[in-house]
Amino acid sequence: MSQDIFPPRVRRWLFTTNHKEVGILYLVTALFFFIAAGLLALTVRTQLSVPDNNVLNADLYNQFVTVHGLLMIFWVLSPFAFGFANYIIPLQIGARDLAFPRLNAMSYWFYLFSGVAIIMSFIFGAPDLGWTLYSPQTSFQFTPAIGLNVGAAALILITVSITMSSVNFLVTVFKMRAPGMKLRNMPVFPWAILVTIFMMLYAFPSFLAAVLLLYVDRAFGTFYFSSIQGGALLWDNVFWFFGHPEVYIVLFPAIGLIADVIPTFARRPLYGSKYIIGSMIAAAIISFIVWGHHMFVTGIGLTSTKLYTVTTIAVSLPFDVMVIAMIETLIKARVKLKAAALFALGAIALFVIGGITGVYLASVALDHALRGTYFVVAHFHYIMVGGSIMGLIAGLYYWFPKFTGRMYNETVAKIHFGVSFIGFNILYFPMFLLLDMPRRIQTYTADTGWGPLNSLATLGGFIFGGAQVLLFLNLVVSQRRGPPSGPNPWDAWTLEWSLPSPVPAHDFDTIPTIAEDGTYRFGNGSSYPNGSAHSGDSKVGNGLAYSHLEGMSPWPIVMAFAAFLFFLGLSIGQPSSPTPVSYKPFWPLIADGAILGVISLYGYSRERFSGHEESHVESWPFREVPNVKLGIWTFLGAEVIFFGVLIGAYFFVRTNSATWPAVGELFSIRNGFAMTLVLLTSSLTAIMALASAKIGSRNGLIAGLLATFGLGASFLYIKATEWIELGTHGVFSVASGLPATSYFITTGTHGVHVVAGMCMTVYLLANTVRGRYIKGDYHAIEHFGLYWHFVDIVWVFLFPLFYLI
Amino acid sequence: MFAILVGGTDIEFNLATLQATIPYNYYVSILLGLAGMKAILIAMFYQHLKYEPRSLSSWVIIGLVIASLLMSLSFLQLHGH
Amino acid sequence: MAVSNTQVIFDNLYGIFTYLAVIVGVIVFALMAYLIIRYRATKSSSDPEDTPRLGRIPTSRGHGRNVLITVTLSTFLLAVLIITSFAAVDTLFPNSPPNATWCYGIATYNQTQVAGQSCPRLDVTGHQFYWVFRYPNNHADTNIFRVPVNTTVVLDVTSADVFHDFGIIQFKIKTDAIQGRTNTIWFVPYQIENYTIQCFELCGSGHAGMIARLQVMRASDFQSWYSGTK
Repeated sequence: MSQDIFPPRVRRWLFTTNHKEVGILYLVTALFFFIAAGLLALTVRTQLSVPDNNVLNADLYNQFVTVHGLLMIFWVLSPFAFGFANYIIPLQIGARDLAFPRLNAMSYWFYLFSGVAIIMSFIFGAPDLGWTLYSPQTSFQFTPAIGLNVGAAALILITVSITMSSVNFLVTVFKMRAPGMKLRNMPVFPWAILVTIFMMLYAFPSFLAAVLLLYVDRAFGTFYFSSIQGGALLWDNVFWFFGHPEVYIVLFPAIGLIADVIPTFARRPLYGSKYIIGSMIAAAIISFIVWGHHMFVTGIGLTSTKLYTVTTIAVSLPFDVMVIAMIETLIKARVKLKAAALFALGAIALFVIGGITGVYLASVALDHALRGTYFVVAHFHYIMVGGSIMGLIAGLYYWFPKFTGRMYNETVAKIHFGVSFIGFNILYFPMFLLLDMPRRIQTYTADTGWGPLNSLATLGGFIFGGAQVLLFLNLVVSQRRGPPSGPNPWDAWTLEWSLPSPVPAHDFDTIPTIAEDGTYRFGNGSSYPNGSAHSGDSKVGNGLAYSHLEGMSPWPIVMAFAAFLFFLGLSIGQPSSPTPVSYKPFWPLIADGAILGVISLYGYSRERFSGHEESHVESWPFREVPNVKLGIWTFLGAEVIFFGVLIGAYFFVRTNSATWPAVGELFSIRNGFAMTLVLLTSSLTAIMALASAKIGSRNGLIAGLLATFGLGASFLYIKATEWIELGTHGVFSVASGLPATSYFITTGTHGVHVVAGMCMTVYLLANTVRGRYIKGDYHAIEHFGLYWHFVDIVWVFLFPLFYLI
Repeated sequence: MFAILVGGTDIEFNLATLQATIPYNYYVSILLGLAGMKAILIAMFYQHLKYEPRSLSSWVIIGLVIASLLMSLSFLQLHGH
Repeated sequence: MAVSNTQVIFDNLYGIFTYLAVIVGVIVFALMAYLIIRYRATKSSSDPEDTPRLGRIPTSRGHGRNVLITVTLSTFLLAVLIITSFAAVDTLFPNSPPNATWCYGIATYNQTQVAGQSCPRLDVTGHQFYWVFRYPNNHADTNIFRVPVNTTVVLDVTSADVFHDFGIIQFKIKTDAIQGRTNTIWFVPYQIENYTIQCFELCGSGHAGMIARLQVMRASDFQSWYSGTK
């Protein structure tokens, strides 16, 4: 079939769902974006190196700065970390793969295509208002260029990628650990990823809502961010509610990595590992209540700003504990300064500087001088580059032997460290001294006196950037010609080092067990190193033979491409004419994407693909909860935040509006009442369908599903008539004011969820007719029910909020 | 269960027609309280949370508690200046 | 040299933060350097007894007591920072701004001065890509802001279009300029000098050029200039 079109090697990389290969794909792609974003930065630094320079004009400069930020944060830092997570975490917890391998591959392809989209945006004029995309300058009125729409499409795609990954890793870490691999026995890296996932799950929906509302503003002329009632502060809140956890999201995996690298090279156990993990959890939770420190000078009032000062300063406490504990690991140790150790320790040192300067910015009083200056730029680059990137590079050197089976050149790596570390400080430390200089200006005059420090910083930039050439040369050459490394060149303790390097396709011959005394037991009951984790030949015990061809699926990449086309089509339409107020969608691409999407959904569901489920696993605390159900509840959690933010935006603009239509003036309460009853009934029929499935009544199941579908359709019908009537009656369309805007968008989003649910009923009906879901196989009906009842719950809130108050 | 939900909705509907006679704050609170109650009932019974293992329901409850804390923080900001 | 009250407050607070930051930084880096050097691996040294090795989960290590000490010490230090910050911000942004005194000496405001009341606030509006300063007599200047030295100036800052940020660089004070909102800041200039006002929030392609001059004048010069405006 399609498998024959591509040669085996290409096919393998395009269709793989193996966690190791997906991990390598993430790593290579992230490094590619790192180079791209780094080149953008070097151009920016060149422009800034002397006063009154004109290497880049203002427009190009703003685009370069914006895309540099977007690429680094979304397309480099997290994917780099998750490349490691994909490859290493199943190995460290003793699992065979992630919980949902095809979903995993799909996450990668969504990520890749979203990266294509953001690079493509340069064609149309890339986004140029900073990665923070403040309102109202991002509204159509001030930025008609469609490059911003393309950027928004890219961001939506990568958010989808991340949400899929979050659900996947969560279920994997909670439910697929090897026997004896209790949560407290896990190394710090999986813990860090787990904590990161939680933050992603609850932060990204806010971002999705924000980008969606921005897109709708630009495409349909709504007023969320272009009005005074919403505008700058609405975006500020919604964006930074996501934005602050996001910067911890890009940091924590590196911290977890460093916490595992240091004990290996210090030859002693990690000091206070449970306090480190506890601190990570605390910091993650606190990260959700500090976002106001990005809004210190917006005028939100002293009560709020003082509160945020306290929470932001408080969040440095868990980081104190983490840093001190990692340093205390070195006490009475035997420190081997290999490249990974150098980068890990260097990262801690730079992170300390970044963290201390963060405390400066946490003070609302100091922020009144430092806001929007290069002090801020220096602070976050010390954390993100000094802490995160250096930590991730440590991981690269650490795990390179495991991925390739070869050792890199230690001397070149040490030089790489030295030059990077020095170059880094020459690049960024002067920026602290430039605390008077505004951010995001493409030039400045000589009389400001900012020239010398800028020149110094640019020099540092080229040194730091140039040093990375050593990294790539070292790794590429060593991959071909480095000496064999053996399975455990660092004499480390985590499970991935018990496997050969590079790790064979099937990972473990037999899943290891951790005994009560903490020792590993492999297969024949013996412990390492007497027992072996890998039999010399490729024959495998347990009958779990596994070749590359097994586990391949074309649907992840096809589905991702479909989504890419769809969202691209939504974003590249030209402004409407004659008076531009919004954009026309580009229907050909949208249609292509939609059709391809439907085809791939169909193919995905019909494909015979089994995930690997071991019978004996550690799964506290979700012992009795099946994988898919846990996945669905997790996803619903993200949906709660998503709708929460949409409803929050409605509250925000409404509170800020002097007048609002009275109850019953705009919307017919009877309509709302009817719709609520219809939807409640549809939940009842869904329950009845499930009950029928459980007792084996096929007709009952069909009836229940049909009824649910019908009621869903009635709901949509009533809503459609209502919308049409509102549209024809007054000047009541999407573009005619905030009451209209918030109503249409919020209930519209809900309506899309109803449509999705109805599609699910169609799918389930088709399968029921084929004989499935009766008796023991009822789970799909149950899962549909979970989703459908959630949609019902959302409406239960929307009814009073829009119709009754 | 269904009857309770429909009944609750009916109360909301009637409350709306009486809206002029009730102080606005109480009106909104009652409505939101009713909505919340309906949501909890749907979650517990339709989505089966009452019968699921503790771990799952705690998961959900913790998430909701955190979400409400966040909403309160935002309200503080809205009415704080 | 003190150029304004806001700059003095900032410098003092920044000084406290930096003093503590340097102490903490030096301690942490010295500790790291010491430990790395003291316990570095040499040919003759051998792995400690509890080296984590493949085959078993490493032993748990570390005293809760150390963590408690770290947290307690840090809390004290951070509390100092919070308290000093609150003191500074209460001065910079009191619940009601102090009496503006820039208009004292101008004939039309003699009553105000006698009664000890506040002068009207001055309006600052950010546009793409320039600043407009409006006085109570409706005189408006673009990109030049004249004020008398040693008086209290209270400003209402807003924007006519997008999200700007109004910053007086040398005075270490700034506030966001947002359409539909007014943010109030105040300062007392101490020297007769020119200073730089710039936009600190990316507002479009002309952002880098959104620069204005703050001209602090002798009181008598300011009063005669003001009387001459319409």
